[in-house]
Amino acid sequence: MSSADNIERAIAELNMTTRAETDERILDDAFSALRGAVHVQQPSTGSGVWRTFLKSRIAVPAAVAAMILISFALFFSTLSKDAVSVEELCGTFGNAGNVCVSTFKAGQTTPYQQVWTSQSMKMRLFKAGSGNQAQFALWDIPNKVKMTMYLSTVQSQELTDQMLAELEKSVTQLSGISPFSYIRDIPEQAQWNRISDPTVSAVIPGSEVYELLWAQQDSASEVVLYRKWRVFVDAGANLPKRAELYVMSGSEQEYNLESFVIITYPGESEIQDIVRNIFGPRDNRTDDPGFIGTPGVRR
Amino acid sequence: MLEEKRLIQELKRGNKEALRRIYMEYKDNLLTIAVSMLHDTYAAEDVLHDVFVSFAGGIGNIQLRGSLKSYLTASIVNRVRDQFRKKKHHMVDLDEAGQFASDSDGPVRSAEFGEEAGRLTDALARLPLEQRETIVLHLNAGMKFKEIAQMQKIPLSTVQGRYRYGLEKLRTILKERAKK
Repeated sequence: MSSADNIERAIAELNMTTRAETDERILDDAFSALRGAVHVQQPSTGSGVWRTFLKSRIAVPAAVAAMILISFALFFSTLSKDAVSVEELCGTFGNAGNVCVSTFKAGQTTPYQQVWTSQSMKMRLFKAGSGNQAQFALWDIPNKVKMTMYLSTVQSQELTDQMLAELEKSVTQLSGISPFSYIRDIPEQAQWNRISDPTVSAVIPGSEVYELLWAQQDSASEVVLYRKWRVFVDAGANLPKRAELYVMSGSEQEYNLESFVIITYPGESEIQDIVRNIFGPRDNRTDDPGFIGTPGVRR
Repeated sequence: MLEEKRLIQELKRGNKEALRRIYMEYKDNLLTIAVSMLHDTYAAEDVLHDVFVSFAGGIGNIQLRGSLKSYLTASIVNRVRDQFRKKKHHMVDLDEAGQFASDSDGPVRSAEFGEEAGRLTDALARLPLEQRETIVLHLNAGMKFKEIAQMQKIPLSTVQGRYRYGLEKLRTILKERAKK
């Protein structure tokens, strides 16, 4: 049977199986989460009152309303005239000429994704994965070419107006560093606080730490997830240097780190070197579509 | 349904065996859905992991509106969308990444799942996410168009259109591949 002839049946018959080690990892972690959840459900004093209140269906809107009030109070009480607002952060970040954003999963030391953006050279380089399996994609606007490389094979194609428009659309105010693309996407009830705990700011010396907190309801259930975006901002330049994304379910006591990004501001030559090492000299990057070959080899 | 309710009640009491039974019952189908949508086996396993850990951790708050399978499927879809959103923030168009991966020996473990599965997931990766999601939910998750429309909060006709256009595009992609 050709899959082109009977696609529906072929897709319906797709059956992928988890590996034994995957089952073990998932069940171990799920059992731990279950233990924590059941423990939290036991009757207790103190925070249990707040938790029970939060779990009440009637109380959820009230809790959200309370959060809004608290957030306003905190917003005005914690922000001194020196504090950086989200808008200011976007402004300084948007004006940074050359940026590299490396994204990590919690507990990992190798980024699973890196993006270099150069406003002055009008260039964007994307890297996913690492080692021999790394995939690269380069948007070289002056040369009107998009190049990709995977497993040592380079492909290029001309950048069309549509692709350029897509590219422009994808570069947003908070590109790559926050879970929100634009300030307008931030929930109204979110609160933005400056953190004065020196042990937190010590993670990145010379930085100030801010946190954005908001609640998010799962569309398929009544579960409310609490999210936190913590950003370390250079005290002098007001530029973000590191950002962390946390989540906490209603049954958990603490936020858990999901992922984090490290933001650096390389020079033009540094980005040029990286691009040259992957795709070869600039002269090789033309708008001639369909080029497939070895990086760095002149045709 | 009664069995599901009983399992959920057991789970709320902290019964690990109930959790294991639920996991074993649905894991492969959920993985298939995640791989078909993400075109990345490792990322799909991470999604499956996050869904079950979140499900177990949030069991005290869960009140099912439909079947457990629908709930878990919706959780997978939500997580997959999150992954796409995250990737979009990093600017690279996933269609592009998918197309790129499908042109080469992509991250789906073809050796493990078979050539046919590799070909199909490669082709699926070239569809827009909405079409891919509709096809996978209908064919792999066994959801009716009406259920998909309710889940996605869109009109039934839109779901049917996405399904039809998606299949046409898949057919074209697979025929092109067969000619090569």
